[in-house]
Amino acid sequence: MTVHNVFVITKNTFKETIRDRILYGLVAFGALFILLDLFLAKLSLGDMVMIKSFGLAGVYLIGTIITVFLGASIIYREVEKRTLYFVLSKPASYGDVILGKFFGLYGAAILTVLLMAAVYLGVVLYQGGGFDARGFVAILYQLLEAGFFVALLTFLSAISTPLTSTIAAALILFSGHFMSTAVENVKRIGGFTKTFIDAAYYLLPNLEKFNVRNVVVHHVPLSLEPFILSAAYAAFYAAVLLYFAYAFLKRKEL
Amino acid sequence: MASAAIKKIIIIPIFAAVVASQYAYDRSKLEALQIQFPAPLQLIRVFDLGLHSAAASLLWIETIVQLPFFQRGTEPFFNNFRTINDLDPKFSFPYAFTVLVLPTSRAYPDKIAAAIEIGKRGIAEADPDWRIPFYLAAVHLLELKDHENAVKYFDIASQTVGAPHYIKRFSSTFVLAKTFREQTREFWRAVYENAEDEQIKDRAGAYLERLEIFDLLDKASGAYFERFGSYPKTPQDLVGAGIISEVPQDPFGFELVFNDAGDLSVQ
Amino acid sequence: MIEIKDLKKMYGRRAVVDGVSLVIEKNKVFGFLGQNGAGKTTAMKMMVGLLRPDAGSVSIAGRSVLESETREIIGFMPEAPYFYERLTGFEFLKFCGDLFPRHRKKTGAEYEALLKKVGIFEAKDAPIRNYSKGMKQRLGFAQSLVNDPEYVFLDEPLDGLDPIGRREIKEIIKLLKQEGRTIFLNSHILYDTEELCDEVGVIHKGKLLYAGSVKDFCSGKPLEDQFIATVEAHNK
Repeated sequence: MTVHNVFVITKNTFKETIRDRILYGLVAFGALFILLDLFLAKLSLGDMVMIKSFGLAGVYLIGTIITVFLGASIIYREVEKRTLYFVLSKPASYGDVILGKFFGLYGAAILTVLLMAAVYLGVVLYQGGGFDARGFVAILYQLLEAGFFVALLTFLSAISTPLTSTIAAALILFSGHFMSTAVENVKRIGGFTKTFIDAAYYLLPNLEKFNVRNVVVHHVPLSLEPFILSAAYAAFYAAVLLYFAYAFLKRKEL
Repeated sequence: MASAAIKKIIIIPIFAAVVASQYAYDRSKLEALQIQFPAPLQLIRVFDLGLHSAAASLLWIETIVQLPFFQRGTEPFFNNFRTINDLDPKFSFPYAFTVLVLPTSRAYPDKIAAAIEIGKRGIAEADPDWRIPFYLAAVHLLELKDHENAVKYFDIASQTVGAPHYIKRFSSTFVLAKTFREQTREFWRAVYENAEDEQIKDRAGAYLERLEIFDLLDKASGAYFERFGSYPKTPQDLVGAGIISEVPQDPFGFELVFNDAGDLSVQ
Repeated sequence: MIEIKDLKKMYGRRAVVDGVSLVIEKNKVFGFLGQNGAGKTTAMKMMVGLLRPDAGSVSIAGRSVLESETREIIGFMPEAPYFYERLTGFEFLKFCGDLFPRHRKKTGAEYEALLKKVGIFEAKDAPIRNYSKGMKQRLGFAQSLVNDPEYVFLDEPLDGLDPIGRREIKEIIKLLKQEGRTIFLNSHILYDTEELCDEVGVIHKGKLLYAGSVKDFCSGKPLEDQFIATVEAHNK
């Protein structure tokens, strides 16, 4: 594995991804969805908490949909269409492919989220909320989650079809946000159920680590330490997923 | 060629039929088919992908329209309100709006006590929001004539982070107003001149209009006493005596009556 | 030289390549002949490092093909290639060229010259999704030459080409041989194999039935007749 080849594949993947016309449609839809915030601003009588809540929710939902859409077939397509033949017959390794695909797709996901973030920040500015620095911090956390999701999709697409990958990603999206609540709820029940839920909590991804949306819209202070811990969590979990993606891909008969 | 043209334009009547069937459905008011689905908190927490603040805001938009008439009854409103508080305890706007609007409801007898309880909870739990203590002070002042608590909450409002400068000024000049009506007028004038949202501005305007009517009827009642030696029982008596040309309409739709001492009140 | 020793690949319980051994000297054009499903493509994939053999080995210029350094000196064209459809022909070629860290970086003009050589220069800036089958075949051929390889592996290189295209590609293959490269190609078009190749190997149901010079194999008869006779003799 070489940094050079990872960079070449990253660049190629990024270029290929951002030329997908369906992506343009999704980003445009995302921008419209966030602009809908202007209409919701009227319904909310200009309450800034509601405007920011809806706006950040829009950036998150559309950003996640786009990430899943881009990533669900990222490796599967390479194997099915045999474009991997061109790469692996040259001095590039499976590791180069996995990392290059990951970084290329992650770059495209970051670009789309930042585009929608710009629309969101514009809406808040227009509504008289000034530059929403705290909202931008929430979006930075979202980018950490996007990194995790891209790694997850790289792994899923190495082992299954796009449809299965999408369904699995959706289930993990829900469980990832629900797990914290489940852990609190089973404390009262105890026993095997509690043990099972606790184990699931640590094994399955916990996406609430990347969720500060509810905090940034209120006057709750933010600090750097949670961001660093969340970034470390995302990096380690992504590393595990990418390693498994590499292992599965290497075992595939091309 | 004719059939190709027909194929192109046939879509228009088909789409017109879609619109017509929707219109017919709405006109026939088939509401029996619609069931109000109460939003259990745990269900929202499972499916909202951690977007509790946005879910609370969305639920609030649906709930806010029930004030002050409670078209679906009071229980759904208060259930939703509790769910909103549980989803996003720091969300202050529902507290503020409810404290402002609930006291004008005719559909809920315990409105004042409920408004005060909600206001106190909002101050304790929600984001620091000057509107909650401000409107709570208004309830104490206008509904309970409780000057002491009104001053206390006006003071809290003026000390709250983000309170506009006119609130701070109002809080200090409020105690100098001579009569209760003057205090009330000062309060609503401050709200009317400085509120940014239209609903609140309209409400303040309505209160100011009512106070104008009170002033007019007080003056007219005084003139009636001078002529007849007793006070009128209703504003209609003033019309009959030729003192005023017509009974002014209360902006909130309430009936205005005089007591034996000639004081005007809302029925 | 290419050395293949007892190469074996199983899919389930079926031996797709069964103990193939070959030595191909430098600067030879070697043609692998076989019916569909005989094991030609699987064998070639093992030769270029895309598949791990279940037994045996492949070495090129004395080094295992599984080492990435070995792949610096080979070029591979897959059968009926698929591409990254949203890239242009030029971008794709450059992407392939950039994957050789040790090879001298080609200039834009050199990539264009390569595209000219295979006859798709005019479409260099068009997205590959707009290419015809023949153009894609030519592009696949071009990317196999992007690193000036000493050893070129071509899987059905003339598939999908019109008569003029086939002639052009055959001329390039002859030119490559003149330049001293070693070419290993799979084909089921016997006429082209007879024209291009110095040596042939006949593979049938994973087994190598013959490997040697074309002249000796044909012995004055048409290659097609000899091929059919060899396969039928094995089936008996």
